[in-house]
Formats: sequence, C-alpha cells, structure tokens
Amino acid sequence: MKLKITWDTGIGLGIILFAIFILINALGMPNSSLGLGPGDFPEIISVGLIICGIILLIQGIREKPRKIYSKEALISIFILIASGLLYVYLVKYIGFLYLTPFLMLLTMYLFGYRKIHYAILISIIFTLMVYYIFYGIFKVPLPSFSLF
Amino acid sequence: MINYWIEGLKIAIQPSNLLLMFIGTVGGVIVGALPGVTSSMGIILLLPFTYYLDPKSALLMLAGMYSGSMFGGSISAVLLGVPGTPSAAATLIDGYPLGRQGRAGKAIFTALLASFSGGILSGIVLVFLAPQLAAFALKFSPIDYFALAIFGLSIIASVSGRFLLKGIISGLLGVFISTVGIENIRGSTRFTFGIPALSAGFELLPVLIGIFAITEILIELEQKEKEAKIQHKISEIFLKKEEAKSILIPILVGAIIGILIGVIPGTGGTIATFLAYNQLRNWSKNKEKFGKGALEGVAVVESVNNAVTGGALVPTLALGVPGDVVTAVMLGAMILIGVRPGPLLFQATPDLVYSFFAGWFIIQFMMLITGFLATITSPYILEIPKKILMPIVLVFGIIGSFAIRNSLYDVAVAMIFGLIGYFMRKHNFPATPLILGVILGPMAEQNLNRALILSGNDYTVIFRSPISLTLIILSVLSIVFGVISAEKERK
Repeated sequence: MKLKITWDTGIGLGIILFAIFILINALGMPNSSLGLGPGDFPEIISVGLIICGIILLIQGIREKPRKIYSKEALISIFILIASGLLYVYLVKYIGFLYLTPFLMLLTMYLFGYRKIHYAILISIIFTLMVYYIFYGIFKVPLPSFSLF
Repeated sequence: MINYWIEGLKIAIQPSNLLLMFIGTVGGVIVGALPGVTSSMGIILLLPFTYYLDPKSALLMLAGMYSGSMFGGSISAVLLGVPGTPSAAATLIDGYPLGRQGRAGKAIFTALLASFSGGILSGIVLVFLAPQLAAFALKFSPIDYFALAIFGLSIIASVSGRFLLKGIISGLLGVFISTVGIENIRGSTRFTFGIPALSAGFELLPVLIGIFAITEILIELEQKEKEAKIQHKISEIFLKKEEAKSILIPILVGAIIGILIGVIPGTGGTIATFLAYNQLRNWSKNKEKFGKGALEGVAVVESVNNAVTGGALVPTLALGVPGDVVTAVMLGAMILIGVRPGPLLFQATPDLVYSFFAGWFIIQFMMLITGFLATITSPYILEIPKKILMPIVLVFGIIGSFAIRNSLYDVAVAMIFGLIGYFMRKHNFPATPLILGVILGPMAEQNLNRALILSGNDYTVIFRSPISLTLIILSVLSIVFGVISAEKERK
C-alpha cells in the first residue's frame, strides 16, 4: 500500500514537533522545591499535546486525502491578512483617519463590491464616524498623521 | 437581600443605563439577524464601546447584546433559510416551512414570545440559584478551584461535538497561549524567545477578535458568491387564540430543558436545541406537523435558546466557569470590563450583581419591543450585503484590539489569530476550547500551585477534598458523556 500524506497526518506531526519544542524549553526552566515551578505546567501541556498529536497522526493515516483549499480563496485571504499587517505597520506614519478608508476599499473590492463611488463614500463616512466616536468621545489616542 | 434588589433596580433604571441596554438589545437583534455575524462576534465587537463605561453599565449593555442576539437568529432562519446564529439552526426546521406557507410573520412572532418567556423564566432561576451557588463556592479551597478549572475545561468534550480529539488539542493550545509572557507564580518570563512584545503575553481580547471576528471575515471571503436572498414576506404577525394556546406547553417544556442545560456546564451547545425539539415531537399529539411548519417547533427551540442564556449565567457568574460557547465569550468580556466573575463577585460588588439581575428582566421586555419592530423592518435589515458589512466588521476589529491598551501590537495579534482561526476552522478544530483554555488555564495553574504549597507538594490533596473529588468525578463524567455522544454523531 502506498503511503498517502493527509492533512491530519501532517498537522499531527506538526503538533508533536511543536510540543517537543515547548517541552525542551520548559525542561530548561528552574525547578521549585515547593509548589509548581514555571516549567511544570507547560510540561504537562506539552505531554498532552504529544499524545494527542500521535493519535491524530495515526487517525490521519487511515483517512482519505481530500482537497480543502481553493487557490483563489487562499490568495484573497492572504492579501487581506497581509494588508491588515501592512496597515498596522503604516498606520503609525499615515494615521488612522487617512489609511483606514483604503483598507476598507480594498476589503470591499476583495469581497467583490464593484460600485466604486458608493464604496468610496461608505469607507470615508464610516471611518469618520468611528474616528469621531473613538477619538472624539472616548479619547482613544488613535494614531494620527504627523510630519515629525 | 431586599436592599440589594432596590439598589440594583435603582442603578438599572438610570436613564443612561436604560439607553445603553436599549442600544445593546437593538444591536443584538440586528447582529443576530444578520447571517455571518454571531452572538459571540456581537459581544466582542461591542466591547470596545464599553471600556469607557462604568462596569455596571458596560455589563448591562453586554447583557442586552447577549439576549437580543439570541432572538435575532430566528429572523434570518425564517426569512432567509439561513440561521443567523448557530443556536438558531433548529429554528430552521419549522421556521422556514412556515415562511413558505406565508406565515413568516407568525413564525417570528412565536419565536419572539418564546425567547421572551425563556429569558424571563431562566432569569428567575438565575437570581435564585446564582447567589446560593456563590455562597457555597466561598468555601472552596485552592485545590477545589483547581478542580473547578478542570471541570470547566472538561466541557471541551461537549462543545467539540464529533471532533473531540481536535477539541482537546485546541484546548491544550489555549492553555499554552495563556502561559506565554510573565507568569504569576515567580514573575519570570516564559516562551518569549527574546521578543519583548511577547513578554506581556497575549491579551484575551485580540485573541477573541482574531478567532471570532477576523476568522469569520476570512470564511465569508472564501464563500463570497453566496449571498442569501430573502425568500418570504412578512404578512400577518399576531397569533390567533388557538395558535397562542398551542405554543404555551412547548414554551414551558423548552424553558425547563433550556434552564437545566444552561445551568449544568458541558451539556449545552446547539445539540441541546435539537434534543428538546425531538423530545417535544415525541410527546406531541400531532407529530406529523413537525418539520412541515409547526409553530410549536419554533416555540420550543427558541424557548430553549433563551432559557439557556439565563441558565448558563448561573455557573458563569457564581463560579467563573462558562456553561457554553457564548457564555465563554461573555466571561471573557466580563473580565475585560473589569468584572471578575466568581463567588467573591457577590460579596464584593452586590450592587453590580443586582443591577445586572434587575437589568436582565428589563432587557427581556426591551427585547419584546425591539424584536417586534425588527420583525416589521427585518426585510430592510437583511438587505445589508456582506460586501459592506464585512469591511465594517474588520475596522471594528482593528479599533477594538487597539483600544484595550492603545497598542498596535495587539492589532497584529488579532490578524495573526484570525489566520490561525481560519486554518483551524478549515481543519475542523473547534475554536471554543481554545478560548476556554486561555481563560481557565491560569486559574488551573495558580490554584494548583497554591494548593501544592499549602499541602507541601502532596498531589493526593485533589482526592482528599470532597468538593474537588466531586468536581473531578463530574469532569470525568462530562468527558465520557462527550465521547459517547461524539461516537453517536459519527454514526
């Protein structure tokens, strides 16, 4: 019989490796003569994860491989998360008020909204609204544009 | 006792609090009605608006969101044929055929009456039982608290359904996440790998926003072609006398089952509503009507749903252990607004507890009114396309994770957990156990540590305290129960 690698086998293996990594880290932590040491609890968790990982790995071998992801969906999902992270990076420099409408526009585009005029209007009005509530009323120091 | 009630009522009927409860309830009904936005998500997205409020007012607003969203799910179940919230899945069985027969209005109105009754009846149980339970729990020693945390974690078995193994893994990962950063025992840092940002650990809210809001956006993004269309029109709303009579027993049956399921942690979940539905069908004289549009079917399911809310708050408020998925999120929300559920809550801040109790009943009446208005306007509410809704949710998610401690790092955490949550969902790893792990992990670790120090590293103390022994036995039973029902579901 040819060995097929299913998702669950791979995930099981990943969990085992991750848990071993935690275990090695936890074993290196100082021990305590009374009560729990900082490493004791993570050790228990990692042993539990290793056991579960092994079971998942074995269950995965018996499973049929199946296709879970579609390429287009994955691409748009990565674009969204990447632009979210880029937003986090850029917002310090550009400010909430100016950057947020662009993020909203991009998200609407990814969702397939094509009425561009409405999209611009909605994203500007909504950003202003949120800005007013959180910056104006709640006094949250939202990142704002500054030359210096 | 009476004094507490008077004080609580005074707080709850302050105009500002009435307004906040109203906003919460209206928001809840809308959030519940919109498919793709669940109760948990509504509570999480409301949180950033409540940071700046007094904890009492914040809690009342959240309670409005919680109750309102539980009813709201039935609107889209009837009109769109898509449950607005997972708990409304069973409402679909009879609600949708009723819509097809042109009785959509009546179906939603029945759901509203049932939700209202479920909320009121379970509220009565809540106010009687929770203080008793809290008073009893004051006797708990650290080891009992440890056992309680384990018991809380054992509900992973019931919330994971047939993906029990993956649920356990998810729970263990949650507990691990809670250990990252500065630990509470010796004050040393763990698992930060030299990254300074990690030393503060993961805030609960960004993790919640990631897993419940950002993940949901990604899932919707994947299925963007499918936009549900409104199938039915609302015509008649009010019930005839005999129709009103026919739903009376189902509502009562539903409320009793819902309260029981809610109060006992680990029995909840969507399965509970199906259980009650089947039970009522077996007892009913006209079995054949069920599934083809019986008002009784809608009544029992919605009564269960809202009775669970009050019931599940009993262990949540009194012990700090959530009864089901949404109360797990509610518990997280309470911690974030500075309310620490547990037996001490009743001693330290009775005004908060009783204003919540009083508010609970007011909210049910508000739900009755807003629910009715929402029924009439629902065709317009449901018109909001996901293409616009989801970007809005995204911005709320960003603001919410930023505002908790004005840190962009938390926004990044939310994004990353959104992606993690997406992969988890795709591979059937349930998310609730992760949240339970994050919340209950520290409770387990700190109390085990305290208990071991008190007993001089004697682990048998777990079995020597009658309370902890009982809780450990209950945890084992809860897991066994979970394994058996997981096996049943697989077949």
